[in-house]
Amino acid sequence: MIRAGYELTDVQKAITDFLRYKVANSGAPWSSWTVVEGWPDQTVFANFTRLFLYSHTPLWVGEDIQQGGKGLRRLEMTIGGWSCIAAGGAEEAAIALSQLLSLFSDPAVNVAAFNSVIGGTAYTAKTLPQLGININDVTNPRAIEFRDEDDFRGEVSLQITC
Amino acid sequence: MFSVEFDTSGLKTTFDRANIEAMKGAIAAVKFGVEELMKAATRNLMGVAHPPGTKSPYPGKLPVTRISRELSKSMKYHFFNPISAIVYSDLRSANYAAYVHDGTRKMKARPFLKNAVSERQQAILNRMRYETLKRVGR
Repeated sequence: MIRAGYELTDVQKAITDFLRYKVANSGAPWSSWTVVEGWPDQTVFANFTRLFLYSHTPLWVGEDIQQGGKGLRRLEMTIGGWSCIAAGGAEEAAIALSQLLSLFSDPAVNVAAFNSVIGGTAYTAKTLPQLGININDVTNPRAIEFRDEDDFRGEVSLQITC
Repeated sequence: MFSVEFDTSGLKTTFDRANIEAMKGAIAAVKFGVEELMKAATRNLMGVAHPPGTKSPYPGKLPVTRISRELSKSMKYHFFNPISAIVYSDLRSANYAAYVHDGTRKMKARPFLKNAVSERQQAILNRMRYETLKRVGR
């Protein structure tokens, strides 16, 4: 379960574990990708031959007001796919962008069970809502290309309540 | 001969007035939105100043540290019409804005504009609703 006071890191960890589950249990193109938690470090780029999915730390954007109780926190989290020429270039990044949009706009995202470790506690076959996370929407899809840096990316923003 | 005549000119006048007031509300809300985004984005670019060639005191975090201040000065806005505007970083002033915003292999992203939108979008939408209802409700 998401812990009070650790929402940002816990949500990031749970979503990353969900992406890892998706990569490990799906066919192409997911099966040819990897997942990195947070911003990639130099070790990722040292052996960069496959597109990887990465996640920004969620941003706290507000809190729902609820009379007589604590309201739900609203977070926004950016996730994306990072490609280079060796990993398929702009085309692979565009595929990752559309796959992420498709995955998170499907209501099935909230009923898929996966394994996660949050705050040292292992959770087996839990869905995102069971962990205290609801994906409400996926917005702001955009392609980022820095051809001089051999960077091709596709990013989406997840609207989350927890 | 029996006939019924409908005169809805009064209703049309009421609708026309409501449309005009709604438009005034939208204009005020867009102006507020541009001001809020400019303020929030500029605030995200007003980090600690440090000399050229030295390391950032807190790399990869917002607010972006300042060396030349060109990035904060590059924040601009433009009204296409009274109800449509854009807030942007002018690449002619700071051609590295996109690298700072979206990050590179060697530099973590610091999305100064995207985060400004995320932080202020609810306030802007609330103001839009308030400005419109306040005027149309009269």
